[in-house]
Parts: sequence; structure tokens; C-alpha cells
Amino acid sequence: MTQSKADLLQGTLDMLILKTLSLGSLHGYGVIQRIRQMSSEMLDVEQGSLYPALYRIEQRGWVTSKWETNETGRRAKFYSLTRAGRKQLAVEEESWDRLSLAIAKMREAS
Amino acid sequence: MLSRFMKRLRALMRKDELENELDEELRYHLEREIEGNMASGMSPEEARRAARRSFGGVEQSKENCRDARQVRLLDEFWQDIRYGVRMLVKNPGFTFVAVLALALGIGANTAIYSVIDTVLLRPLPFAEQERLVVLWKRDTTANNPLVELSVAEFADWQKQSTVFESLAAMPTTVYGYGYTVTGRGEPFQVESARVSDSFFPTLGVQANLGRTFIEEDDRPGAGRTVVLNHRFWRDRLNMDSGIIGQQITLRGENYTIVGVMPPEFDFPKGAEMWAPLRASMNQRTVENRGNVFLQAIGRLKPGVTIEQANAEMNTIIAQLARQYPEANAGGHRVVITPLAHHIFGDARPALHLLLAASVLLLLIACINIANFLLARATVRHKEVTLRAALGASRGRLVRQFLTESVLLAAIGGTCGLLLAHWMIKLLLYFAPADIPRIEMVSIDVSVMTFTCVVTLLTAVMFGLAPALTASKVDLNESLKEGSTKVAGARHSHRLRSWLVIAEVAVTLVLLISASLVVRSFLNLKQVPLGFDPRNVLTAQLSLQGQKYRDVRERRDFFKRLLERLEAQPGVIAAGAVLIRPLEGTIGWDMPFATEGQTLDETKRNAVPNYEVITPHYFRAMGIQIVKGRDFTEEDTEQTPEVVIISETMARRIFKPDTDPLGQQVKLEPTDSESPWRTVVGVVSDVRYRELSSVRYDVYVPYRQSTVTFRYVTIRTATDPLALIPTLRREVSALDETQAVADVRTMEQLVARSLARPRFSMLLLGFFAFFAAALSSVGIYGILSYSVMQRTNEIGIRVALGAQRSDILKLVIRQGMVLTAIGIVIGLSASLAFTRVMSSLLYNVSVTDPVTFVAVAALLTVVALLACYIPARRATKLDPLLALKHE
Repeated sequence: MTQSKADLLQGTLDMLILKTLSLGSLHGYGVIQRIRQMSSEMLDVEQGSLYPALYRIEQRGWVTSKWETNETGRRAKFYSLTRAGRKQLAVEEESWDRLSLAIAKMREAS
Repeated sequence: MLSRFMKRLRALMRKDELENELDEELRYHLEREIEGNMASGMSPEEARRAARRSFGGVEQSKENCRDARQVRLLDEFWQDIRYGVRMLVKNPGFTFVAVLALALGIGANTAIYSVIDTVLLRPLPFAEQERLVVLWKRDTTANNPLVELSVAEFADWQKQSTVFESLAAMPTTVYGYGYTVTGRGEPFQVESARVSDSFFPTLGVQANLGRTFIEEDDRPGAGRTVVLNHRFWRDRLNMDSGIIGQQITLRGENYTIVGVMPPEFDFPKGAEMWAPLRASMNQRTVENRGNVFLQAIGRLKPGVTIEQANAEMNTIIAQLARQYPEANAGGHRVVITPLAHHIFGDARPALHLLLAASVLLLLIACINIANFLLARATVRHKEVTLRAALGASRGRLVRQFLTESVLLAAIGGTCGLLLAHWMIKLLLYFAPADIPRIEMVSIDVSVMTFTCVVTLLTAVMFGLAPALTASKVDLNESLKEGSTKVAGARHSHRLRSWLVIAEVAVTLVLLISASLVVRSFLNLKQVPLGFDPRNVLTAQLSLQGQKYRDVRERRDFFKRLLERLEAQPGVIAAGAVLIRPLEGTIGWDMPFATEGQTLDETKRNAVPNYEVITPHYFRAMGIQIVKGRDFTEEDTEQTPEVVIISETMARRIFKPDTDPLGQQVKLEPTDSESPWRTVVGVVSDVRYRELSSVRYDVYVPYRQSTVTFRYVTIRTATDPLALIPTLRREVSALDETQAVADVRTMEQLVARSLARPRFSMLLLGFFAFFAAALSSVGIYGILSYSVMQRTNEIGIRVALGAQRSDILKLVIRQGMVLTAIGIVIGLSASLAFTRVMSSLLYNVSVTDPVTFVAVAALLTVVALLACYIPARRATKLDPLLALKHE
């Protein structure tokens, strides 16, 4: 793991999870893998942060979970996005865009 | 929202299952990680190690997940409870005292509430009872609060009024309408109520068996019908369901049983049987406006207020007064009372007072426990600081303290509920039997709910202040200053001072109320009864049957019976009377006139109680003849009419310095036929209707009145109860179809009249005593604690030369200042509180200065004692040790 990795800003993890699940339901391991893929290996989420986040998000009603068999026939807990989760994702993406735009402007100004 | 709630609920319920799911999920993750590592070329061993490393702390992660799932709260709750139990077990003395105080407080509240719930709150067994009202008249001229209706006037009301859906008539008392039942074993008496046919429909009740009355039953000359109550049917007729249509013999006449009422129907209270009002009358009695014995029950039309009914009825009464000036005097006004209030009215104030007192008691218990907890909170400061330093939030600390309080309250509440079970039994034992429905009191769901709510409130009340105080931690300050100086200690101390002040104040209110009730009871007990209640047996004997319609037969029966009784060994005297003393607030009202009064003037005379007696009645009752003579068998229809009056009446109705003997008095002056009667005797005032007031009494010899006796009274040389078999034997020897009922000694009747005030007194006395005990413990507690805290300071004072007496003064002053403030507040609160008690007191002012001063002084002495012990301990401190005290 010599690659330099971006530190996750607090609060962004929820958005990333919602984003990965917006493409289809996944189990916890899959979420980590997909975040890694989608960020071109730049973002690495540890399970120690992932599962509490998943549980928290589920508690809020943004995702639901179901036990299903995976591609290899083993039982795994799959998470999928709810309608409330989809809305939340839109909200978070928008606020993230505003934040990054603001930061970009600040950097240009200096 | 709902699904979230369900999820959380599920989380609470299936904790293990969710734990397993979490395990499985994480295991799956780990395995996939290992597979991934092996796929990128690691050996299995290496792959596992790498996976574990990257995985991080599994337990930590689980904990975080649980947190996110919010099961934490429950876990912590169990933790708090376990911790709370440990704390309670560690301080058995405190726990015992606190649980005892709470159990007594909650138990007392539960018991009193269960009585109030059953007696006052539970609805009556009538449909839409809020529309039911009771109506009678009052006489504003003669100041007579209860004037009854005649059958004719009731019929007028029924015809002319428009505000009622229906109107019914019933007698103002069940009393005196007893029937003797024969032909079903031993003759026995039942109480009856004669009611109009509209009675049951107005109340909205139906018969359990058969029917209630119809219009045809309730007219002169109709066939005799009766409706029975459930108990009569159950106990006397063996629940025979074929009884409807059968005959029953009452007063020697046959009646057809048409219905049996449901078990909960008990109205008017004590009626075992109902008969139609007019069936036994002829047309003349139905039209006789002088024969007044009824009150009306009305069901108001929906939306009609009592004021509207009042206005209409008064118009009708005024109209009737113009129409029948003889019978309806002009001063009559209608009195309309909601039925529920009519039934429970006089039981209400005493029960409310008791509930208020039990709430105050619980309040004192709470204050005391709060005080203890505050003191302990200061001691536990180190523990709290440590926990705060380790990251416990304030909310978490408050939650823990509150859990402990709730735990304590729950234990206290459970014990209280058990205690209430016994208290109710005790309550029912002491409770006067004339409180409606008192025999049905028990612990039911609504009472349990009440107890739970009270318990929780209690916990918050005594737990919140200590919890907030104790959890207020300034880490910097606390850790810096070391363990003896405590942040918030001053605040806590001030709070505790206020609690002691409140405790003293509330205790004073309770003590003063209790003392007033005790004094009132003692006054009532010492009331001169006007007769000697010892060794007097009385029994009801209403002669029944065709034969005794003749007044001479009645007189003859009683004369022979009394002679036979007086011939028995152990009988000193035997007499007969219309209505015996203390039979309740009932009696025969008899207006009178003195010589020279106009008819209008007589209407302003107070109305005396009327008794018809035999010559030996005064001897049998032990009533003193103050002046003049007793009646004799020579006072007959042929001799001049005579009357004996009571002392107070003699003093008030004649001009001062006139000898009442020989004066003329006319009874029933509106009747032109009434003779003038000569006063031949003056006797002591007898409390016929109630202990708390003196009325005028007039007595007439039985041979000069057609009114019949209802009671025999016998003075015995020994135990009066031993004479009961003799009495029954002598009655049936004369006429085997007659039966005596309601056999009582006069002492029993006096005790019955005292039962209600005695009940209030016992309970209030108990509450007050317990409150005083608790608050002296409270004062003692805070002072002991304060002395302990000030050990250092006291040591310095002693070292600087303070005398023992100085230290004593110092500590006692601290306690007494609090007591004094509490007493001042308590005295003013008492003035407000006792005002509501005035209807319960006899001959004691609600602001009785003697009681107020004496009780305040007593409480001061108790407080002084509670201060003295810790103060003495302070003077015994060794200054050297005290200075070292940390």
C-alpha cells in the first residue's frame, strides 16, 4: 500500500456508500471493492468505518438490507438504496459540488 | 418513521439474533478479504494475517455497529440497573428507610385513590347519568332546606314541565316503608321504595328478569305489583327464574312479582323492593296535597341546563302556590341537584381531604429521599468526576442517577401496592358503612395505572434534582482542588436547605389539619346527647296488616308489648317512639305556633322535630325531665291536649322570665282543626337527626295522636344485646305475623354517627404522625451531614477558643432558622388548606389560633430535638482531630 491515498473528509463516507449502492445492491465487502475501483484505487475504506456507517445509514432509512446468496452461493447481507436514500444522495452530491466549487474558487483567488 | 421505530424495536427484542447476523456479516467480509489476498498470490497463512491486519479491531468495529444500531441504550440501561442495584445493596440502611417511606406514601395514595375511584369516579349504573337530576323544594320563609312533594303536586310537575325527557317520583327516604314478608319461612322485613311508573325508564335501567312498571300498574285500584332487587331474589327466592308472575305476601296482602333488577342496581340505596306509588292509594289520597313524602328525579332533555330547569320549575311552583295557597306556601323554591352529587355529595369532601393529605405525605417522603440522595451525591462526587473524566457525558450521568431513582421508586411502588392491599382492608374495617359503594373497593386496573404513574412521578420528583446536581462536574476545578472541596457543594447545600424548609412547611400543614379534625372529633364526642346511650336496646317494629289500620289496635298492641317487656327480669323501662335518635338526618317536621302569632309569623318559626311517645319512653332513653312532668296513661283523647318541649325550644320561643309550663302551643297551625296544647313538661335537648346540631323537639302522648310508633326502646340493667331473643319472643307471642328489624343499641347508633369523623381523624392522624417522623429524620439528616462537612471549621473555632455552648448554638441556629422559615410558610399554607375543611369541622374554627400555635410549637420542639443530637456531636469534636479532618 505505497500509493498515496486521499483522506476521507468526515461525512463524505455516507455519500460514497450511497453512490456505490445507487448502481445496484451490494454486500459490505463489495462496497469497499467498488469504492476502490470507482476511485481508481485512490480511496480505501476500512471495514471498521464501513459497517458502523452502513448500520447508521440503514437506521436512517436510506438503505435496506437483505440476506441473499452471492454469485458463489454463499449467504451474504446485501444492501440496497431506498427512495429516501436516492434523495439523500442527490442532496449530498449537490452540497459536495458547492463545497468543491467554493474551495476551487478560493484556490484560484490566492 | 414507523418502520424505523419497528426496526429499533426489533433491535431491542432480538438482540442475540442481530448479534449473530453482525458476526456472520463480518466473518463473510474477512473470508472474502482472505480470498482476495490469495488471488493476488499470497499463501493462505499470509493472506489471513494480512486480512486480519487490514481488518482492524473486530470488537471495536462491532461496538461501533451496535452503537449505530442504537441498542446501546438498552445495554446501558441494564448496566445502570445493575449498578443501581449494587448501590442500593451497598447502603442497606438508606435503601430500607427510603423503600419504607415510599411504600407507605405510595401505598396510602393507592388505597385512598382506590376508594375514591370506586366511590366517586366510577359511573353510576344509569344511562347518561349526567342528565339525571334530583328535585325537591326548600322553604325560604321557614328556612327549611327540604320540603317534600305530594303525589298531586308531582303529577302537576310532570304535566306542566317541558325541560325533562321524563320525570319520576320516589320517597325522600327508603326508611320507614318496610314491609313484612310472610308465607316464606320466618316473617322478615324488607325495605321498599314506592315509585312512579316512570322511575325505571327515567334512570334508563331495565329489569334483569321480567319487566319494570308500566302506567297501568301505577294508578289507584291497580293490581298489586312489585319489582325485587337482585339480593332479595338471590337470598330469599333461591334465584328462581320462574318467579315472575308469582305471588308474594306483603303486609298480609298478595302482590304479583313482575320483575327482578340487575345486581348493580341499588337505588335508592338500601331498597330491596319497589312498588308502584299509586296502586295502594285511593283517589282521595292521590289528590291530598298535605301528604308530602316525595322527591322527583328528572332526566333533562339534551342541552337543557340546570339553570333553565330551575327557572321553569320555580315558575310552575309559583303558579301552584297561587292555585293551592293552603298546601303550597309562597316561600317555596325548587332545589335541583345532579344525581351523582346527590348520591355522593357528603362523602366527597372527606375523601378529597384524605387524598390531599396522602399526596402531601408522599411529597414529604419524596423530599426526604431527595435530601438523602443529594447528600449521597456529594459523597459520590469522586466517582462522578472519574466517570466524567473517562468520557461519560452529562446526559449519561443524569440517566444513570435517574435509573437509580426509578429503581428505588419501583421497589417502593411494588411494596406500596402490596401494602395498599392491606391498607384497603384496614380502611374498609374503619370506614363508615354509609359511604356509597364502599364495600366494592378493590385494586383494579385503573388503580394499578394510578400507582404506576405515581411511582414514576415520585422517581422524577425525588431523583431529578440530585441527578442534575450530582452530574454537574467541572473537571478542571474538581481535579485541581482535590477531593474534599466539591464543585456544586454550595449549590447542593442550598437546595437541601430549601428541601428541609419545604418539608417542615408541608408537615405543619398536615399536622394542623389533623389536629383540627381531632379537636372537632373530640368536640363531637363530648356533645351532650340529651339521652343516656348505655344499656338501651332499640328495634324497628312497624305493625302491618289490615287489623292495625285501626289506631286503637296499634295502641293496644304496643301497650301490651311494653307491659310484657317491663315484666321481664333485667328490664328497667320500655317505651315506644316515632323515630329513634340518630337514625340519620330524617325525622318528622312539625311546624308550630305560640299564642298571639299570626299564620305568617309562624312560618318564620324554626321547625321542630316531632315525636309521638309512650309514658316510659323518657325513662327508657334516659332523657332528663328538666321541668314539669312526664306523660302518663291518663293523657288520653278525652283529657286536655298536652305537649312536652325541649329545653332550647322552651327558652327561645317564650318571652324571657315566663314559665314555659302552662303555656299554649299549637302544632300544625295551618290546619284549622289543630288544638292548642298545654306545655306540661320540658326535657333535655336530644340530638335526634345529627350530632352536630340542636333542633327544637316536641313530644305528644301516643293516645293524643293517630301517628304510629316505629320503634321500641328498652333500658336494661345488664347487656342490652342479651335481651334480643326475649324481644323477638314477646313480639311473636302477641302476634306471630309481626317482625322486628334493625335491632341496635343506642351506643351502636352513637358510634355510627361518629364513624365518619372518626375515620377522617384516624387516617389524618396517621398521615400527620408519619409526616412529622419523616421530617424530623430529614432535619436530623441535613444537620448531621452539615456538621460532618464543617468539622474542619468547627475545629478551628474550638482551637480559637470557642466554648461548647457557642458550637451548640451555631449548629442549632442553623437548623432552627430553616425550621422557622418552614413554619412561617407552613402557617400561611395551612390557612389556605384548612379553609376547604370547614364543612368537616364541628365547633372548631379553621383558623383556630390555639391549634395553630400549639402545633407550630410542637413541631419546633421536635425540630429542636432533631438539631440537638448533631449539635452535641459537634461539641464533642476533638479540635486536633477535627483540624486534620479532610
